[in-house]
Amino acid sequence: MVLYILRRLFQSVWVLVGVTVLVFALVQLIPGGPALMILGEDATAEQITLVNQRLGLDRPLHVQYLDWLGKVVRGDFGVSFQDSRPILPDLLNRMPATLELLVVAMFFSLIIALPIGIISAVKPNSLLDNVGRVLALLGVSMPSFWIGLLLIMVFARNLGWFPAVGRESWTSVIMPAFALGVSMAGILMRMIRSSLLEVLREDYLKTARAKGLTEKVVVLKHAMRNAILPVITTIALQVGNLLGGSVVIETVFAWPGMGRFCYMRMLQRDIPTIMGNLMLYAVFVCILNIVTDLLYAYFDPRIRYSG
Amino acid sequence: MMYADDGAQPMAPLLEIENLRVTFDGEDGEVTAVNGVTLSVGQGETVALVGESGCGKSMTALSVLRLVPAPLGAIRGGSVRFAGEELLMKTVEQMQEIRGRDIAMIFQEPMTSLNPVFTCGDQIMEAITRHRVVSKREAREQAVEMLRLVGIPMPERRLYEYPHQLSGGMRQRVMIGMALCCAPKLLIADEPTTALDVTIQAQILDLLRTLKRKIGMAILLITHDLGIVAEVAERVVIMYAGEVVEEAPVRSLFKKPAHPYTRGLLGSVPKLDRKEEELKTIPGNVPSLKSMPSGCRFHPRCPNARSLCAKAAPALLEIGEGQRVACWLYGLPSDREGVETL
Repeated sequence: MVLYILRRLFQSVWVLVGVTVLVFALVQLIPGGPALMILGEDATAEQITLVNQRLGLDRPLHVQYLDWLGKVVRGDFGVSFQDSRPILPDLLNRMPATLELLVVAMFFSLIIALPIGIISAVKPNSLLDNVGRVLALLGVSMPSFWIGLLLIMVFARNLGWFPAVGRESWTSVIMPAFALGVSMAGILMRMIRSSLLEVLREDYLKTARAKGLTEKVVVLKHAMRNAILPVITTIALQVGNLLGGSVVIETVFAWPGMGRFCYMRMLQRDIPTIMGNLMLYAVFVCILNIVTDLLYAYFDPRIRYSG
Repeated sequence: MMYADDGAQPMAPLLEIENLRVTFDGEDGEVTAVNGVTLSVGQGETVALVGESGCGKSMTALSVLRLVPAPLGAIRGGSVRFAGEELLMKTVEQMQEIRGRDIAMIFQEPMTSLNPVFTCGDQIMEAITRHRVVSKREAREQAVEMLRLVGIPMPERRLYEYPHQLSGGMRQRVMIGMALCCAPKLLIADEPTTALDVTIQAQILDLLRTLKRKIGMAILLITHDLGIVAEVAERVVIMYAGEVVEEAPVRSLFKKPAHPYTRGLLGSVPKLDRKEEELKTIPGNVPSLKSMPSGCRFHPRCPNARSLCAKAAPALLEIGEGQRVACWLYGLPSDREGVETL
């Protein structure tokens, strides 16, 4: 088991190294280079050379990369083009807000998807299954920002139940999290349904019923424990999408998290900040993947004992 | 009337199935998987239910526990009485109490019949705590005892192992232990050895016989293997295409099989002491449930078929001590005297 965790950690390091290469390459692809962006279109050649020298951009690419990588590893993400402040503290300050949004969004999608998914599988083609199918389709096909705008219009402007923007009270998180979680709920619902439908045909459920267990125990304990595995994978993959979605949702709801910060710095072409942001996202997704693998091992002893 | 293997002592029936009808919703409409099956199992008796795959024997067994897979399958009629009580009238909750406590069942596939994500101990203890008021510790002790009883070495350790860590034979032993932990009065064993190696088969059959004596339960053994029937059963019920065609004490059946289908089955068992060029088979195929032949369902494959066989289905008739057969060979006065006329 320890070996299993160590191996997964080792693999994650290589994933992160790959991410640094991609992130670094991204900057090189910007037409005109950073200097032109800082100075604007009318910059003279001397000015550009000067800025490049100051930022160390006149050195060979691999030297620049290794220099940047060395700093990143030590937690130094550099300073912002925009306000010359260190990047990392600014990002970390905004991280709790984003995490709160993600966790609540995940919570919403689970409490929507689990019951509907389970009932749809237990009673396929029933009324609720069909309702669930339509809801899932709506959830997947409606863009989250549009759901967000609808929510603001109905529940903030018309009904006044929730604050439209910001993060002042505990109710603030409800609307952005709901808007963000809905699309994931649609996918999860269908995943839970199909996964559980498949498990419900298994022989061991016949055994469980023959023991005299109630249908509730048969479905929620014996079947769900097996059906949950592909669902966990889906959740892990979806959280990556959720992160991307949070950039839009935080912007719509003026949610003071990393996503909105990243969006604003993107408009200002603050490359080092965007790079730092991307790196943090990558680390987050890597951690999530390891957690997923651990959950997998927890739920399925066949994995636990072969690793 | 029911007879023990010596064919003399009548026993009180524990399980009585009468005129059971089970249907299935297929793609081309409803089909009848079990058509008017009548059979009984006495206290402590071992009855083998024999037939080819798809003949409805498993469905008959699942009907006893009311576990016919809904919503496609449904029990349409008849009666299933257990210890004098009608099971088809019980509520879902009452049935859940009976399952595992009074009637237990083991299945064909030990590899897939245990839940892969729970330990063997958890699964046995669950069956114990479901029907008995015991502490977790007592349940664990009883589970260890059951594992020991079914011949699993180092039961204390096996308790914490997962099904995938055990061999097929061991898993079937765990299944048996789990089924018997509440000392049921009836064990339904649905092809319990079909998926196992021959040597393991013999061990499992031995185990079932021993435990049957110890616990004093009855067994309804579903199989297509006549070798197993000869070894463990006292009475045999032969099914063909959803219907019972013959029923007899095991000795009578092997000595003088009455139904042409039974004769065909016995004839197709390879024998070591006879020189045979080819294995004997019954010509033709098992009819599909969708297009059942009229009259006697076996008549298109029957060497003794006559025009009457295609027109009317024969009823089960008693032809000897405890031997009953559904065949016009025995039902017409011109063929056999003393048997009631049509």
